[in-house]
Amino acid sequence: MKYFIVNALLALILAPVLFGVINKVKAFFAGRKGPRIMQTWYDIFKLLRKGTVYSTSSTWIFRIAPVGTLAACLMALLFLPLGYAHSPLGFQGDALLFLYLLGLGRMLTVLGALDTASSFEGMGAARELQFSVISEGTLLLLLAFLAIQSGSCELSVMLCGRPCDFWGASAPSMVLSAVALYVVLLTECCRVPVDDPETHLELTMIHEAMILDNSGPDLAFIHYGAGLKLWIFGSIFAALVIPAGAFSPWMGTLVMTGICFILAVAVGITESMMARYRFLKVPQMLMGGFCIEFGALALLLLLGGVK
Amino acid sequence: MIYWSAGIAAIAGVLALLCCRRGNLAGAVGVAGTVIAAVTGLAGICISQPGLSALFMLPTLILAPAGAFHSLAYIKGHGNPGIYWGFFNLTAATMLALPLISDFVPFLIVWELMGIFSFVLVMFNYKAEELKRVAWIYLLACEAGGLLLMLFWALAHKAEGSGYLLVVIGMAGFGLKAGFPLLHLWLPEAHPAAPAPVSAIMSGAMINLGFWGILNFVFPEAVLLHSPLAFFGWTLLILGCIGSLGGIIFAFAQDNLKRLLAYSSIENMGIISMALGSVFLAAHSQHTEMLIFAGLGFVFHIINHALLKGTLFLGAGQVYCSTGTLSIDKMGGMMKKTPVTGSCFTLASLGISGLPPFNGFIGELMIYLAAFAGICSNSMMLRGAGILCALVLSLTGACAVVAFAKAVGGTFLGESRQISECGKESPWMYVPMIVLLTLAVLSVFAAPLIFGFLLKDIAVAKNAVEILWMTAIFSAVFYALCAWIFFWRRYVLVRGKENLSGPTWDCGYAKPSARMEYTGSAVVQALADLFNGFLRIRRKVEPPKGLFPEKASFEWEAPDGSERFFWAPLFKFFAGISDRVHKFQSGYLHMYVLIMTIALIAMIVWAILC
Amino acid sequence: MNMTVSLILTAFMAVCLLLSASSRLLHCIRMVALQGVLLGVLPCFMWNWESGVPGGEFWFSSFINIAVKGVLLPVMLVRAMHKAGVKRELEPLAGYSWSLLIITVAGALALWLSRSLELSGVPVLAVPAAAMTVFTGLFIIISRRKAITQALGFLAFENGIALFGVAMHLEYGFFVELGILLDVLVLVFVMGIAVFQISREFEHIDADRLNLLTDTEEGK
Repeated sequence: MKYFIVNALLALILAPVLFGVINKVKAFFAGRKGPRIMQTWYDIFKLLRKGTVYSTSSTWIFRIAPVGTLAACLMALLFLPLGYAHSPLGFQGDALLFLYLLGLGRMLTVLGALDTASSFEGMGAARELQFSVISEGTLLLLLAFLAIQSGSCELSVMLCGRPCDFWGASAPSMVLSAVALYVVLLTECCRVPVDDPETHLELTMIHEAMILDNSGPDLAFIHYGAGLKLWIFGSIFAALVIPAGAFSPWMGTLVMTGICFILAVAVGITESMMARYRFLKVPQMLMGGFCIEFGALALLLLLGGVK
Repeated sequence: MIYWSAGIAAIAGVLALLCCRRGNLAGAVGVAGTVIAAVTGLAGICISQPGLSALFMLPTLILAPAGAFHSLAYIKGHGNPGIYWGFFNLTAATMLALPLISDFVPFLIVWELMGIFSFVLVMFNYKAEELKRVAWIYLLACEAGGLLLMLFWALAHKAEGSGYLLVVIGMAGFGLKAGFPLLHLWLPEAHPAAPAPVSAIMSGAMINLGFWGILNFVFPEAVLLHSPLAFFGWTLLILGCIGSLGGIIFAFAQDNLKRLLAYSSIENMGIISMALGSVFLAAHSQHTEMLIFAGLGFVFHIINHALLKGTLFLGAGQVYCSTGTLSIDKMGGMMKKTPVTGSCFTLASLGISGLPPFNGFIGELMIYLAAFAGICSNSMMLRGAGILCALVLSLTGACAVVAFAKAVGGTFLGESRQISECGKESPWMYVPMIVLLTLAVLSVFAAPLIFGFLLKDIAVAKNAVEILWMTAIFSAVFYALCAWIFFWRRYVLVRGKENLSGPTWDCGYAKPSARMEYTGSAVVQALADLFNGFLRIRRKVEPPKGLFPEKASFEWEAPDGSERFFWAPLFKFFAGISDRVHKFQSGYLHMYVLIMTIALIAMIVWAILC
Repeated sequence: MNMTVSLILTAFMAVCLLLSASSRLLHCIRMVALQGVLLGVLPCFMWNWESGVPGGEFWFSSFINIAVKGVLLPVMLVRAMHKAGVKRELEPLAGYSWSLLIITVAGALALWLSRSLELSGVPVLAVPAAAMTVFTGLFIIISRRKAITQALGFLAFENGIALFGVAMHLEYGFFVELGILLDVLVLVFVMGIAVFQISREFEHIDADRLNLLTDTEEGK
């Protein structure tokens, strides 16, 4: 419990810093100095101090959407075994609750976007909806994979209660799963090559296009929620690839935080190395992630490594 | 006492028919009848605890009064109210009676009566031209179902029994009502045409009865099969997978709001069927945990679907009454004109997409838990079934989010596109919606209490009740967190700051108009393209021509796949055969007598030879 | 050691997926070349080094695999590609998303097949990886239009068969494989010449339109 609270606080504080790391890496590749590493926090505080501008087209949906999205992200974060400490909120089946909380956040963002009657936001919503269908299937297969390895469907147990030698027992499917999860991470967190959060060219964006009309505290909530989402997927990735139980609690905190930051660096490198895909090509990439995860599951099921 | 509820509804129906000259009186009798019947029925269920039949009565008991109140405003100026109220109550009476009948022959009679009574309701607006085809399809579906069930009954009484054929015929007969894939044809036709309260009752309560029939009459006949549990499990699971995924993919491609909801009903029947299939598979491999989860999922999803789909159809009815159209692309911005309806519709959409913290999620969670119990087991069969079930459920969930984001976004959000006049909403219409929605939201918290009481003697179900408690607690925390963030923003963060409102910022474009807005079809177009191999969208494009193009147009629709590629060719084939047989109808009496004589002789010879 | 073998075989399967999803010919050729190199490397990890250093045939086979399949054939294919002036497979008969799904299903099928075969002394993943590569090769021949892509399909097919041979330590596997390899070599030669000729004559190299050359009426 004590460990979990510390880890949760750490996540809540450090999550927006990940964006700073990504931007620093990108700036390094581009030969620039780049914004400060705490820049997202500064932005959030600045936005929290401002008033709001609401479109006359919008209704209560637009006002509730950022709130609901942030709440969904916060709740989803608290079901994870942060720092390899079992979540005190966990119960059997919370993995599905986690999956659907992400879905709730997505639906609310989309509804908020459609509420403004803006064509750009509609465009972003359409793309988000298209990509979410495939990435949700991939995530579910990943959950099934973890359920087979751990014999449970409580998120903490699924991620941290697996036998420590799973790399030896089923290395190929582990590699495939990690690749698939990275694809999902890039999609869900709206990074290149799926989405381009940097350009403010509306036609090339997905997530940023959907929040064009948000302002003030609402925009702060959305930025913070996006940071939390990155942290969520980073922790899942960490718990997937590094076995729990190999180190003491505080070491676990260190490892998970470290992996989150390493992932941020990896995302930054990915963004510097490649361009955003054409939108016709993104579903192909997601389908590839789906197929890889399916392959991982099939390998695990048919060739052992099963608890 | 529960029998009385059906009786009261029937008496009220006859009374309403009798006073068909006096519209208001008929309305009063009809509403009073359904309310009294519902109260009696609910009291009866509480007293006598009739088990599974209560589950199938409950949707009717809740939806009938709600639909009745809604009808008071809906049917004004739409034809003879006496007829409507009479048949409304009679339909409700048959639906209440069906789960109480345990013999097949009386069941079949009531079943047929239900089909005919509801046919009158679907036809209520009979002056509309497009209704003729719909009415024909609905009648055909009802009668085909009836015929199959008669055949089933006849075969079941053959001495040696006929195994698989018998079961398949029975399932097809009931599947026609429950909207199984390929047999679902009448749903997307009848629901948009029927009055909204009738659609609500048909979708929320009537089609469930197909599962009652399968459980109660078809399954007992299956003892002759090799392993009936596995056969039923796999059949229902696979049919459910096809139905749910196919249904929701077609749902998001529809432009007609009620058609979209009808396809979503097919999807939900698919999910219920998957739950039932998991129950059978779990029973086959004697996996108690999975059995309990799947069973609870089945129960929850029937109730949740009734509550939420009822709300949604009633909301669609309000929208239709206000605007006179059901086309999502023409509407938009209805939230500002019909705020209560829009809010209820939005919340119910979140619920039926299976999102937490609403009740739709609990049903899906239970089915997922059953699937994951299968995945974590040692049996390869259960693992395969579990993965299939969970994967289809998640894809269905993601597509449901798309479909309902389109329904809400296209209809209620943004700016109005082609609606110039819009009537006000009537409290007769939105109060039933609010009641249904409140029930739906509260059922999350009521579920652990009720099922903790019902399942208190079953030790293995303890786990499931605990999970219900956890989801209830989660929902409470989630609501509290949302409320806290909301009020923190409202009363702390933005207090005393400059809060403005203005037109939508369209990236510097000075005069954004509703014509530039993304329509419902535009929102789903990308995804529809991805599934075009399955949807086969029909497009009509007239591209702009020349340097100064004057007009251009683009239309697309997604007509039902089973009709286009299965039923229409099939019927065409039989029509071809009929045309050939038609030659015998020459109009000469001599000819007919000759044919009859030949037939007679042939039959005598056959009888002697065999 | 066992883990490295499994990882190499997984890489084989991943290459199949990439091969079915890529539209750029250069990319496809690189993938097939990678298969050839993996094929050459694989025996070194499967050899039981404690039992002594393997003989000359072993090294020769590995060398041939890397040199011919990993270097020579890809280089020739790249040259043919440049000569014909095609870079992409533009309109495959099966779309790329569908190709991915089909190959995934084929992989699952291969896994299922390997379970029912129950061979002993063979790495668990070898048979499914080989079968999946064979399926992928066949699928590419079926579903693509360009002559070069079809040659690539043949090459992938051959890689799959060679993988069977390598994984099972077949006694005469080396000779059988050499025979097939020669066939493929000839095929690529013929194709290289033919592609150039076809593209000069018809301004495209779509093999599915070769039926225009027929004498009968339907072809025309």
